[in-house]
Amino acid sequence: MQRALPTERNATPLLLLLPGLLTIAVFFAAVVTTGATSLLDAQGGWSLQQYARFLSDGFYRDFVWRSFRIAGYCTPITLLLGYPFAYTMSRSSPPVRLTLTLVLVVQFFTSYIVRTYALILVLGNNGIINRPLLFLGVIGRPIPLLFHEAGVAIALILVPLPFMIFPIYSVLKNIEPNLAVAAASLGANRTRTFWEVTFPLSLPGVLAGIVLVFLFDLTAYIMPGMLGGGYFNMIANFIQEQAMAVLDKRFASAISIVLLLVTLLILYVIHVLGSRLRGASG
Amino acid sequence: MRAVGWFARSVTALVVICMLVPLIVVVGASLGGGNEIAFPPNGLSLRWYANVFERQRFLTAFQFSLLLACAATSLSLVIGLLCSVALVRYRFVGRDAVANLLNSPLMVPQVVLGMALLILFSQAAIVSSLIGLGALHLILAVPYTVRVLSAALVRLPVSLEEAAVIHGANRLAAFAMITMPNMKPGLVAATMFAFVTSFDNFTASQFLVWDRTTLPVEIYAYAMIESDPTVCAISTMLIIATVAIVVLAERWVGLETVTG
Amino acid sequence: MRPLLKGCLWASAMHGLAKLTAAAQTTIVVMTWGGPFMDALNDVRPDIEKSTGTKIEFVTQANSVSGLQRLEALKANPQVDLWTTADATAAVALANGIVEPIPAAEVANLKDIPEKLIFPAGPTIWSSPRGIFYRADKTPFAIKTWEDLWDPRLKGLVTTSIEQDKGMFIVIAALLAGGSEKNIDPGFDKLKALKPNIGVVYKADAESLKFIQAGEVSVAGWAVFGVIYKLLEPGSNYKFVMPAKPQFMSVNLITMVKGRHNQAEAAKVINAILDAGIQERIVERLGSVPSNKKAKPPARIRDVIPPLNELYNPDWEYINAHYGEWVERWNREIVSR
Repeated sequence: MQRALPTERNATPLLLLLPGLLTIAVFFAAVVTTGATSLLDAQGGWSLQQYARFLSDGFYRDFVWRSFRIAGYCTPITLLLGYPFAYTMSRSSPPVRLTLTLVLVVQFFTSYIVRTYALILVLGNNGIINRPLLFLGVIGRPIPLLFHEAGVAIALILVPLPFMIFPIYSVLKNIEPNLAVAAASLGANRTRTFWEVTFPLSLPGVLAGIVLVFLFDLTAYIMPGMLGGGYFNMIANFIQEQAMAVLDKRFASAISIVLLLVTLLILYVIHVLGSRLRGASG
Repeated sequence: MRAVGWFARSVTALVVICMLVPLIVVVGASLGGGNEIAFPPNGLSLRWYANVFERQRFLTAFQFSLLLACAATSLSLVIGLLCSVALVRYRFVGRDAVANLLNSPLMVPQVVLGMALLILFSQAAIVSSLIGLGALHLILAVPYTVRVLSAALVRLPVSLEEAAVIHGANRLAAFAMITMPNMKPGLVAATMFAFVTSFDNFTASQFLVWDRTTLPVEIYAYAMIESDPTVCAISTMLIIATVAIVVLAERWVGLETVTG
Repeated sequence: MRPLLKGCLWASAMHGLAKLTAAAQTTIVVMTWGGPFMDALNDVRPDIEKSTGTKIEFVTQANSVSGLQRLEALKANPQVDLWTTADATAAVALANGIVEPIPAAEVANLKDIPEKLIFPAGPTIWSSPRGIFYRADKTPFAIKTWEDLWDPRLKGLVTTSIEQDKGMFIVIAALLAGGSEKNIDPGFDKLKALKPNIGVVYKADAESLKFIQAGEVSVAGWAVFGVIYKLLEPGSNYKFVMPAKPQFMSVNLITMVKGRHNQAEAAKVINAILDAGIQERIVERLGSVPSNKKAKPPARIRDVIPPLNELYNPDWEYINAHYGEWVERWNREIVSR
């Protein structure tokens, strides 16, 4: 357990943070450039016209809502699938652990573009899910996965799984097995041990995973683009379209800043909830 | 080893199947005899693998991607380690804000980031793929390493280090020899995230390629006009290479180091 | 000491001479697409270098628009001499002062390029017919005209896009309905009628091909020949048809970037690329149609290209100005579910 930390008054943390902050400074310069571009109206003068245009139109707000909605329900499902996986990995024998690690690592090294093409072959009306089911007569019509929200959601749940699993795994691995033994000796059954001892201790990993997956889903571009078939464009697709097809960099910049601000807000909420939970677990 | 309940095991099995299916499709399609990406493949042939080697561009792009990924990974690991120590072991004004700040590159769609960096670097008269893409990949990797290493470090009590210090070790040595080994799973995870973020990156990288391209951009360029399974062959080869590296690492350095 | 001094002087003289000769040979930087495009150009590079006496260096762009973004970012200090790009993007670049018209007097081969293929921003280097690409085994009838796309038998089987050639598909629909790019409403009405037939909207030509190969849709309503010609072997299930009217070619131009100082040499390189022999070798690789009248298209595509009597050249400046609105309407009226 960490003992309470006094507020640091010397410069050590700043020195440690310096390289990181420098890197972010370059990023920040890019954000400032984007922000400055977003404040230009169509004639080149300073104004909030781009923001007004975006926020006042229900059609546009839909894009934001849709992206947050999809990211919002895909992330918990990824957690639901990823946590047991991480748990199994942390408690298995070495050969099993190695195999599971391999499966995850190999996922990583297959380029997104190729994996998305593969998902087309899997999820499509003519794909390896629908074809046998149709052939066997289990279903009368193909399950509408590809070019529908379901297909995009499946991809957004599965593809970032490693981002959820690895942080949770690295934390679980370090939790003292003796803690669970101690709990058991005090009469707690396995379920109770898990919920009252293991899970709370693994929260830092869970929160890290949630944040990484949520951001991945929210800013996803390749998968909603190809698997949505043009019908489920998310906010990154819309920004890309404005920036690259319509060549309206100013509008695209404004949308990006809006996205950035809303995301910061949501992350703040997650963070507050997270500390509340962690505080409660002692 | 603690027994794992049936729920955890069945979910794990389900996830493994879901992960393997697209990969099987990719590998299967790469062996296709016809001119198209199909699964099940029409006939079997290795000619797409031969095709990869006939194209010098893929090899050059692969080398460059590898170089970038190694550079971005090592730098972001160091930065991530330093930042996570600062964020976890110290309390200071604005700590939460800094943590969020270090996360921020993930919040901006890559299109925007790529274009903004292009403008920035052009104004600074920097026209090198290596510097531009190196900076981009570093910016994208640091949030991952900071996140993962912070989560790993939070669980490790500082009291062990202090015990070592009392016994005469200096602070740095105590950290390196006591805390860091316990961070192995986190370090491995952070390395992988950083590496893949760099190696696989396309959306933002496409703006910053110049005299040299990366593998994803080359794959995209190829897929723009050709529709054959060559790109599947490349992916399959990368899969095989990855498996080989992980298995060999396990043999030589032991499973604990690989999986943590 | 003396021999050493002499040796040093000699070495530095040689070095200086080498630098001078290197400087005497200009390097022309050409920005173009990677992959097969750069392969094709690299093939002919030695010949171009020899005939023009320049060195050629290629740099990559992932697509025309990122190339444009890069040139805009580098406007104050351009690093590229020549840029190959799509016609619509070139028009934007010309309007924004990124590229300048080429010195026609210095490019002799321009006389062999058809008028219609010389744009204000630059001459065409190759083009690819746009038409309808479909799978005979999954399409209920043989498609011959644009109107066939609206046939109710093709419900859910069609894929199309407006991002390719900047909204040309809407223009085609407008032309069929009696309008044009300047009178686009009939086009949107016609597209609304097409909605039930549209199975998926794609963003890049290669994507449309993937969807068709995967069997998700069977007709690409706005296909480009260069991407699919390899599948058109005799006996294949795949068919490409370029409807008789209106016709459209997806065109790639070469343009001259403004603000560089190698105009004369760059013009020579353009001239070399437009040479009939070089053209034939480039298009052989790409499966495209050369722009030089004297160059023959690759044998295997010769039969598929009809006489280009009904070629429609849209007003790109007008389209560029209104494309944003069109995208809005497309998103709201056509692609919504």
